[in-house]
Amino acid sequence: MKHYVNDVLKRLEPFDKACQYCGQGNSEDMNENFFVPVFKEQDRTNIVVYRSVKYKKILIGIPRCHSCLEIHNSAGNKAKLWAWVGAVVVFILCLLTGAPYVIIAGIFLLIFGGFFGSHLLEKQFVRDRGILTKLDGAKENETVQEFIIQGWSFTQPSA
Amino acid sequence: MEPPLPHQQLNEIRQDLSSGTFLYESAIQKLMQTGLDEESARNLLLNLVKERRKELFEQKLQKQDAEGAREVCFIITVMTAIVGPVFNVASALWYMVAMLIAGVAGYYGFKDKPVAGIIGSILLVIILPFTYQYYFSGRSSYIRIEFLIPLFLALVPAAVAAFLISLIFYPERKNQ
Repeated sequence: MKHYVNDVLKRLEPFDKACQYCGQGNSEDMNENFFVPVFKEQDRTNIVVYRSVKYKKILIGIPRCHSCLEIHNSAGNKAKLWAWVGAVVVFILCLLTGAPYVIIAGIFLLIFGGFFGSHLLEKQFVRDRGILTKLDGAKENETVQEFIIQGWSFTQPSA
Repeated sequence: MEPPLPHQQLNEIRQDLSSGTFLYESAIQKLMQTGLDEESARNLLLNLVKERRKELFEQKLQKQDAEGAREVCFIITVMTAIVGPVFNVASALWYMVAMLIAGVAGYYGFKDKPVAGIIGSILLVIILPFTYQYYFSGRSSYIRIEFLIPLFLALVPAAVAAFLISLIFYPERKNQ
């Protein structure tokens, strides 16, 4: 048994303290652990004009030390800043051309660059510090592996 | 000196784990018959179970990723295919670009059957302008939901072609 159920917060909390991200530190506070959400589809309705999906969600705690928590948080903030500033600069350059197609392309670049860029940069910044990303660490957890094998998913089902 | 690792027995246990015929106590006995003490046998078995769990986990993740990619690539293909007919694009260059985008999306969406994915997606781009023209020619008014009809008319032959190609090129995966 690696986890126990916290009925109040509706999540699985780990017994283990050893940090899953650096393999050196220990988790000192339950709220500093990373809680990865996993989902399981229960019912889906797909009619041409109506789509709906019902699913279950549970949070699984991954032990994380204070140092790894700080690395994850700072990498996330830094990545968002860099990606959005970069995307806005590219968008302004597209605006300056005055060509409608370039401006439309600039809007797409702004949105995709901001969201995907921050996601990719965050992963890179975390790896540069020599620890696992939040999701990579979760993938090493045996409880998470069991849930995925039983048909749960890291991706939230959408209608 | 520790006894050598019983590779043959480990492979047999791996096969039992894969086929679902694994029995814990019989596996322990099998390993102990090779000269291992009980604790070493249990540790070896634990590692095998972990190895198998990781393998199943990665297979499941790959399958989920492929399903996600398939949905995204299908949406990209459909969006690319409807641009030409809906905006009355007459340029041959656009249709070449659209086929290229659809082909790439078809490849990534159906990586396990790439030829079927590429040809099915390109066919959708080629057929949709004709079904669109067939359905809407001579019409001055229509409701938006009707756009789905020519799309469906184009999807059917593209899907049938992709299915037949997958049967020809990938007969061993027809049950997947």
